Amino acid sequence: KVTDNSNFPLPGASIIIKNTTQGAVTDIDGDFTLEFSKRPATLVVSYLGFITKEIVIQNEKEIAITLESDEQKLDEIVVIGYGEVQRKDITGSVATVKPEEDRVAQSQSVESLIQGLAAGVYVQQNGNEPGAPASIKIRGLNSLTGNTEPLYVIDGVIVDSATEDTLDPLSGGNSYLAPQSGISGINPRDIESIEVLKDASATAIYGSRGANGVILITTKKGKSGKTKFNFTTLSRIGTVTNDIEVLDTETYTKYGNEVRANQGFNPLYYQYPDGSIAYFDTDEAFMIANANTIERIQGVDWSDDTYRLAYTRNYRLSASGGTDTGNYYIAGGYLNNEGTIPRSFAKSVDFVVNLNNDLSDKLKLATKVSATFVNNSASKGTDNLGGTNNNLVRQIISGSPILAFSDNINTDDFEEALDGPRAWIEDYDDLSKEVRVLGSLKLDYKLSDMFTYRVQFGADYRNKERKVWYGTGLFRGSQVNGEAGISTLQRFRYNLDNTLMFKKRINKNNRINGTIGAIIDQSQAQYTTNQAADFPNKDLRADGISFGQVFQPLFFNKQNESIVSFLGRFNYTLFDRYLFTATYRADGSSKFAEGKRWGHFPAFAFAWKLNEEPFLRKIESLSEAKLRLGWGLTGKQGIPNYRTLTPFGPTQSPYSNSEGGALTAIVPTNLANPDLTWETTSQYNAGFDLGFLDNRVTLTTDVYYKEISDLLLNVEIGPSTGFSNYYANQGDLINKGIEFSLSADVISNEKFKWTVYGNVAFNRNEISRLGLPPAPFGTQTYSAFLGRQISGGNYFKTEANIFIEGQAPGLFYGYATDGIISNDTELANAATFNGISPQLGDVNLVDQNNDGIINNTDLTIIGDPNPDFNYGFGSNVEYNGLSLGFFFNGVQGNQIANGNLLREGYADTNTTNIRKEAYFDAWRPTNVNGSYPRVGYNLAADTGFTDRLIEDGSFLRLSYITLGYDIPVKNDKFIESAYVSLSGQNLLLFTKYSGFDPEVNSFSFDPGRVGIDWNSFPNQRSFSLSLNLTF
Amino acid sequence: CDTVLDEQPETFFNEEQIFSSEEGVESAINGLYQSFADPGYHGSSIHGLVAPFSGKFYSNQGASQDATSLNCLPNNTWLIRLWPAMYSTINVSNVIIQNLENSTLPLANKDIALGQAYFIRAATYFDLVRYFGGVPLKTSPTTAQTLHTPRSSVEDTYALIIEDFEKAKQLLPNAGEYLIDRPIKTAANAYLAKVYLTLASASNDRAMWQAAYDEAIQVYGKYTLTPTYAELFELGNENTSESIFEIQYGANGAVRNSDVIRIYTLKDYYNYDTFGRVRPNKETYDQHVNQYPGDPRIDATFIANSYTTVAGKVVKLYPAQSNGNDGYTAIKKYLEPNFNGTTANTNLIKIRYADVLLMLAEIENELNGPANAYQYVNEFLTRARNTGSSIAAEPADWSGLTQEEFRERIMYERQYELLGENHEFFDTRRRGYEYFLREVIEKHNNGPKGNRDFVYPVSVKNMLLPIPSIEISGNQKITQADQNPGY
Repeated sequence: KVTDNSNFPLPGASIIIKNTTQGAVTDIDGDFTLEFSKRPATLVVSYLGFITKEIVIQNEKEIAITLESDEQKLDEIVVIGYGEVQRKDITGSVATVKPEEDRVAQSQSVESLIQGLAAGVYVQQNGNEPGAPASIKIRGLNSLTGNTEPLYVIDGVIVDSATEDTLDPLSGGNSYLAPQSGISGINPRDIESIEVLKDASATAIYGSRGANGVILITTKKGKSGKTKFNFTTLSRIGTVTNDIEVLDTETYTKYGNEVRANQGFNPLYYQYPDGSIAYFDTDEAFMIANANTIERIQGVDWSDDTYRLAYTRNYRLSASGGTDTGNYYIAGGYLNNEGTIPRSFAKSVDFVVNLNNDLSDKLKLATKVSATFVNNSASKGTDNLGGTNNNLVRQIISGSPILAFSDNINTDDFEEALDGPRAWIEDYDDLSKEVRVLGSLKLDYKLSDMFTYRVQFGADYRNKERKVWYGTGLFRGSQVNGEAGISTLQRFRYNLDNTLMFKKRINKNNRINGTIGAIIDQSQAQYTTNQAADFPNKDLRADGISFGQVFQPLFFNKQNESIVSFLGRFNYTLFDRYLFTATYRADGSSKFAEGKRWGHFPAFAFAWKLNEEPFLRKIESLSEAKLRLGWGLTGKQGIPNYRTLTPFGPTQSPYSNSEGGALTAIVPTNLANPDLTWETTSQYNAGFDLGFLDNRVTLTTDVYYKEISDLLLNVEIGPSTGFSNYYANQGDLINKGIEFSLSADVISNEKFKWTVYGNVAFNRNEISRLGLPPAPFGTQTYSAFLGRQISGGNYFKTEANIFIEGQAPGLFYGYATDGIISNDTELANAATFNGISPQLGDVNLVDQNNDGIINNTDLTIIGDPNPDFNYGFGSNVEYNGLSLGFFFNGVQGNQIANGNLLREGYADTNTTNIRKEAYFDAWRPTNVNGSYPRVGYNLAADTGFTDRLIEDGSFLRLSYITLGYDIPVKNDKFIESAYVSLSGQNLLLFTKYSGFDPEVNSFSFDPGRVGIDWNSFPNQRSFSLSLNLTF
Repeated sequence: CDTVLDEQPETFFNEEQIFSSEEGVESAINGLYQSFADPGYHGSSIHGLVAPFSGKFYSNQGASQDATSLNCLPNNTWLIRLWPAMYSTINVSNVIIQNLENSTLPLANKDIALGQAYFIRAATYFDLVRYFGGVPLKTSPTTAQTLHTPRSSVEDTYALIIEDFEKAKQLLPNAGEYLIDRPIKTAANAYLAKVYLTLASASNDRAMWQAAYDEAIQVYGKYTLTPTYAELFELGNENTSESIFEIQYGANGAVRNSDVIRIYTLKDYYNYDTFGRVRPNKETYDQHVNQYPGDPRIDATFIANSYTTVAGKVVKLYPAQSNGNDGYTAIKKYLEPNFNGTTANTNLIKIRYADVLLMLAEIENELNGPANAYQYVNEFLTRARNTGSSIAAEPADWSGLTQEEFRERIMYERQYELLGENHEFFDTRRRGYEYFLREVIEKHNNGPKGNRDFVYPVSVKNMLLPIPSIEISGNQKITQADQNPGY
């Protein structure tokens, strides 16, 4: 009989007579029978999760073997919400990511740590600037206009802040700063494991916030033994990759002259025989006669002039150890991540302390504190205007490649002209500083063998300041003689969890365990903004905000939020192979009005461990075969506070009295919707886990079907209401998909190890109900609404996405085109746009309703930003201390609306630079098959969104490749291990996308503007060297 | 534990706090005026969009070229700010009206506040109906149940406007009883006169002309013209004896409150950056000069021929130049030498006494012919000739005109007297499409041209602005079929 140390039978344990092939497997009762050909014999008794034992049999007829559980095999324990289970007992869909050294060395954020490793978890970088946010979508798009980010929980502390940021420091004037957010406050090096809870049976325990999925992060703890130090350092060099090719100075001047010639005007430039170029004056004779005195223009390649090598340095030291009654893990580090643009960087310093103490036999205390200080400088500046002069990257591409070009310096029309990138680098600041402290105290009291009571207090404090400065070298700053804005965010969130955990083995065939609890979760956030302009002295930049002569009263806003919850989970295990889980959570949220405030979230799951069935137990190679079925409800309440009320707040500017003095002016700030309530997601999941050869090969498949109803939408409403939008529960969404992940230790012995792994996820989204009456959209009639207008300026001042009932969300909606009007026949058939007759060389807009006029009724669906599937795969080979690892990730079948082409892809009459092909392959009488419109075609801004902007966004990226060497230091008394690695990031990118990088989503966290590339930042290709020492 | 879940905004007020005290009500009224003054409405949009769309101005703004060339798109960059700002004003007035009409609290300023709320609501609907035709009529604060409102007829819209102005007339104070910059009873009379005059000039219904007269005559003599024309536009000389209703602006805060300075002031005219974006059309300037050579109002209205930049450079303007962005004159009425770049001080005169005299002249001519109409015209013409230093010959007093000639001349006179004061759109449309075609489209298309001038399309659509695309997409009771003709 084989039992564990609490005397419970272990069914399925394997018993082999050493050095033979003879053996047996224990039955349900832990019993086995074995015949011996000779005695004494040595039995090898093994059971997953327990230390293998060898027993010498002399003459015994019956023996009782007790196996000790293997504490070292910690990876078999999986953290789930409010408790943990053994991996083999999981009933829900949970992906575990154990960060490995090579991977961690690449990652500066939690998001990049997960990217591509967990099936169905789609991580998307939202920019390539240092400190730019990434967004994570678990199992497709879970919302149409609300927050789609998962809930993060770090060691039981809710860190629900992925989209939280300071207010825009400069209100008014169309400014749009890209949010800086994502999950900060945790260093990838300190992460022990990440659990991604995907299906409802796993997430329902988080009730009202589980619908987008939950990411549980467990940080490292010390292990008993003497103190171990670990030091890591990394240096990285990055360069801009996939730069966009624009006209050089000489070609640019030819282009300018061609535009002028087409208009019947004098040229703008004159090129001398020696190749030098000057501004054209009077006539050619004059230019020749005064060749010696006329000043030549000085060309510049803005890309060369601006981009630089980006250096990153990262150091980290940790110490860990422990005794029988406690352990500790302490770490601290420094990161300096510079961008490819001068003055852009993200620096951080952080430390973390994890202490675990057994205060008594029954009382355990876990203490955790981590503090991070982040200092960011983003020199990019974004803007939802089409304006080139409000964005550095835009200027690098579109800036006239001539130094001291008047339009690069100042401007006539605020959407039209450029400031030099140099002015931007010199005279613009977007600086942020953040302090974040996470802390938690967790006390476990073992009431009895069956019950443990846990109280956990978790706190998350954030203090962020973001300041923006526009000096007079920039258009915006020159208009107002310098402009400064400072905004701050102070937020304190805490959760107090009271849980009672129980486990009981009723008899050999029946086990129960579970949790019940009551939780309170509150947050208080305080936002301020200060804004000033007109600075007599600008030396202090934004720090001198007090010296502005035009200033805005302090804007001060507080937001309080509370959630009260009751939860329970009950697991029942029958015969050790049938697992039942039921969970339930009730949440009350302050975001909803009384009567609408409580949500109830039940879930049920069943798992069947087939490999434990007698008929399969004989297949020795099969180490795991588990079928999981689950259903559950989860919710979402991710809307701003106070949306059921109408708060009265200040107008942007005060009104003035007859003397010009300020009068406080108060107006209602939003439209109340007292009927607001939870968005609920009902999810079915079926999964199958297979493991072979002691789980050297594992395969996991999940299929799911999610129905998200009463979507919390920020509904765009007719402005005749006095508001442009309001929050309402409207519409349903269906999400279905299938996920596979596979990993195999192809070769695994002392000297040689080879692992391959990969995953792929297919997801289909469909809007099943919108609750809107059908209305005409183009030539069709749909129940649909349009997304948000992309820009407020000249270019792309239109909505690009349409959300149609019965179709995938966020389809691209614009004008279809049919090449260029290249001959007279095509011209005769071409329609007029906005009263302007077409001409040869114009873009041929498709007249959907054949009325000869291109207008709103000709808009149609021109693309789909939703991918068919996304995937990741990699491999590691280790031989004698040398290792090689690589990882690819990819997305297939999505399209991108590259809004930048509106400027780069048309040789219009503007004084801005364009892509080479837009000039060389422009339609001309001599190039009637040109695929770009004629030089001087200037309707791109008016037509807005055409399928000329739609590009295939599929890509496959060699995310990293790493060569590592485990330096043999066995004889060294001081150093325990030393590992050095060289890696390259983003070395290969296979894509048809013509912009900087296909992994782009310019409007992070805005589901109303999906799949758009609007002034994105170039990506880097980089090489890094890292060293990891343990001593 | 439900009390834990009762979170209320701590840094914003609730409705009850605002409407339970006189000070609270005042701050809500200020909020109403600020909505009216917002850049989306009077601060910027009517200058950036409506001025060029009137057909009397050119704008070099690329983002609004569609409207400037009289091909306004339903998603025009200004249009999608104008309409929401106007309706947010309507909603704020509805909130005030509902709270005060139902209030039993003894608030001393209740009537005055209500009067102002009705006045602003009526003034906003009056602009809406003239820009867009019949519009959704909202008379109570929007709730989640009242999001979608169909367009009402033009008649119903006017009925509400008249009803509201009538209420305002009852509730508003008399001269001297309240703040100098707020409308009084006679402001409601002046507005009502304009409402009836607008209806009468479209229908030529004698009863309407009479109604217009009955209102206008009550304003007659209640205000006085400023001694000279030019001083009306001098900075600091605001809320004059001639002002009937004026929107107040001041250098408060650091958010742009109005774009009037950047839009009209020529580039480098002062030591700060401006656009000089909206400029009178060439024929607009020519017409005035040809009619009244030497009219001192020309000098007070236009910067023409050339100007000297702050750096001392002389820049040629129309008529000395007709190509390029400077092939136009500029409006001189909104100069602010000490503009801080962000917040303008210059008030916007919504209606002034000379306008009432113009209306009286027009009405009298329609009712009884020119004989008794001259007196009104000559009153402000006399003032126009009076520059303070010398008396100009033009504009000479009127006499000896037929009723027909008087009608034509009074419309021109409105342009000469009020150019750049946002009356052009209304005056070019209210006498019908034939008038608009003849006096705007044809005069422009046959007039002098530079390389920047657009040829205006001959289309009835330009009698109105399009309903913005955001309203059609967000309002379930308005579809593309309800869009204004031609859009």
